[in-house]
Amino acid sequence: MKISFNPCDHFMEVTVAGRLDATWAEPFLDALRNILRDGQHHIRMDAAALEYLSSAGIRSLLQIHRELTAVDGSFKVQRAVPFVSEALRMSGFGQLLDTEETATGDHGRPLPDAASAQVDIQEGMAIETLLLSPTAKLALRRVGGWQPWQPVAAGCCQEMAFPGSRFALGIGAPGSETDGLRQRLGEFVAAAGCVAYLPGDGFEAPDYLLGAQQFVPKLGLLDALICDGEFSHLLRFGPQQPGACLPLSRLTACAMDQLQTDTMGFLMIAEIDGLVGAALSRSPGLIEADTEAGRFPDIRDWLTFSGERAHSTEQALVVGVACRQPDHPVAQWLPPVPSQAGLHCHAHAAVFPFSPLPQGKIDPQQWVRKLFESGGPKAIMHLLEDDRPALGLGQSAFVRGACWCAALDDKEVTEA
Amino acid sequence: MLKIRNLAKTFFPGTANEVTALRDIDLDIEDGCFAAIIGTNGSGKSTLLNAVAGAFQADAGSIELAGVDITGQPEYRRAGQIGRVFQNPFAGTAAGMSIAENIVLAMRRGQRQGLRRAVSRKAREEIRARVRTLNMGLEDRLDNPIGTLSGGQRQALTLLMATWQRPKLLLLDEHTAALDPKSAAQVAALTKEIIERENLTALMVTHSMQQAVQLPDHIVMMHQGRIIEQYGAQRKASVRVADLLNAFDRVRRRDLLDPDVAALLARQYA
Ligand SMILES: Nc1ncnc2c1ncn2[C@@H]1O[C@H](COP(=O)(O)OP(=O)(O)OP(=O)(O)O)[C@@H](O)[C@H]1O
Ligand SMILES: [Mg+2]
Repeated sequence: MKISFNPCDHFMEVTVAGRLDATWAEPFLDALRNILRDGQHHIRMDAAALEYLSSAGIRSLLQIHRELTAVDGSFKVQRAVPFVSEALRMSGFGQLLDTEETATGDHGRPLPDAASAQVDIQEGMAIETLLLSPTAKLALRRVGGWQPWQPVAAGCCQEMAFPGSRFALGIGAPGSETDGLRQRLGEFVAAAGCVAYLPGDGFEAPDYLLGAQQFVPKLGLLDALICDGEFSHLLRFGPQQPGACLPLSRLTACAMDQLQTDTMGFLMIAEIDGLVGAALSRSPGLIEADTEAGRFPDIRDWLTFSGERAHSTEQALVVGVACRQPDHPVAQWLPPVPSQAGLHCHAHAAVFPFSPLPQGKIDPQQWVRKLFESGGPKAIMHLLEDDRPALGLGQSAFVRGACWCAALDDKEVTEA
Repeated sequence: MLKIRNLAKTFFPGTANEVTALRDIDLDIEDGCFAAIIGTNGSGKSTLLNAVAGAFQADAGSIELAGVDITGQPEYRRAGQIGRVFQNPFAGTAAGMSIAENIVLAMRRGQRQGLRRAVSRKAREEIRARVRTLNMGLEDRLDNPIGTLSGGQRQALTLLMATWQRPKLLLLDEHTAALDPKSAAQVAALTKEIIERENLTALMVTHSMQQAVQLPDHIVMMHQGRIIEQYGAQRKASVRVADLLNAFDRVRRRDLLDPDVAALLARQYA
């Protein structure tokens, strides 16, 4: 089999020559999945030179068709020789064939709504801003207010439910103090009625809670930032040049420019270039009066560091709050970003296997849920910038994705 | 029951080559419990087994086996109640001697007797019967020199010999690591079978996470001379290979957390 690619205006043309059979089905599928990962969701396959199509080959066509339509893309087989079109029709997959009637059909990606879209190119990344509810603002609540690395007093974990409209990050655990909540505190991310959390016992994989019908996930919170409300903007970004990526601080700066604000909350799903961060490896609920958890070497028992730019090519769900006005009350709640004077940002990421997103305006609820439904999180971390001289890993960066955001409503910033 | 308290060992103390191989080890292995020890290279797994077998005197701490403090006992006295199998299939057996002769030697282990090599008729029948349980057809080759057998066959026989007189404790140090995958799986299965049948108390060092998850009742994880984690009962039942790899990854990252990184993290969590 020979496969070649010809990028067209609104789709990718893939020419396949030779046999598409059991031997070639997997490499063929991988090649087409890479096109999808690169952000092209419309593929036309030129089958004029295809000599043979086996059942395994048909299965791979059907598979890529399924994956493309799941993200509002399309897949069509064009110029099939009679043998190939017969094989497809006979097995009931005639809809994959681009016949005369459909040939002129929906080729293009939906053009962004010109009035509400604006594309900005920065350092090889295209950032498109889409308006959602332009005047929407978020209420921010800080709960708990734990002071690292103080012992955790009994009864200081506040219970909170996470319905679909709320997104949050912080340290918490499911359950109540009577069943040992304080022994299990760890980082969490919550959005769209789903919660990913690290059981703070150091050696367990992350776990998650999925809201469903009557069930609304709840956590006991040691310290958390909770946003309620609607998003005003959606930023869609992807590389214009191979290898380009978007560091978290540039993304937040760009979003705050668009929002014309100095404080914002955001929720993002994006392909990972690299994550730099840390996570609790032991529940802070176990800290005692004489514990020096914040200092070397004891800190090793309480925190783990990613140690590398981790989880490249996987998909992250990131929840964060950012502020670029150092004397704003919210800035006091957020750690500083060393390379950006005045910028404060607290963000947690949950890592999932990669799955593509559709283009354009997409619903955060639906796509966050899809992430959780495709299998649990593989890792959760508190993102940070590593500015050590020479050895520093820098900050987390992303290749392609969607970032929903809105300014914070200063009147609705509260602490409990 | 094996009960280890505060066990410590430093090799070449006070020299440039000083290595602290065991630090403050506390470990309880119940009677009839089969425990695996996993850990990175040089984490002290073999040293722990050697300390229990009495290959050297520990610097501190105590070891109690079946209610008897054996801390001060010399190795040869412990040998009567502790069976051992090493990684090297050529260790622990005499290559030039026959299968039967090797087994007779093992039967007399820990007993004060001369090296009589003659094998009585009655002993031979018992040997044949027990070798047959290995299901390797070796019962028909009892007079062949043990050196003519494959590594897997030799490890199976060594295992049989080490458990011949139901030891109070069985120590296995990567005893399948030098075998090809098929023989390793065979010896691993045999190990579990013998330990369960004889209800032995056993400690097995392994680098195979698959084995650690599948064979034992309990997992002990070591790092830099310490026991850093144990998976028993409930936790052992649910642990997967990925969890163990994850745990090792965390250990690796813990080592990365040096004073500079600590300062970085302290600024973040402030
Ligand atoms: N007899 C000895 N003399 C000096 N140093 C020793 C001796 N035995 C072990 N060590 C040292 O003690 C440390 C622990 O070694 P040990 O053999 O117990 O590790 P291990 O966990 O069994 O590793 P591996 O997986 O490589 O077998 C190592 O640094 C080793 O070099
Ligand atoms: Mg060893």
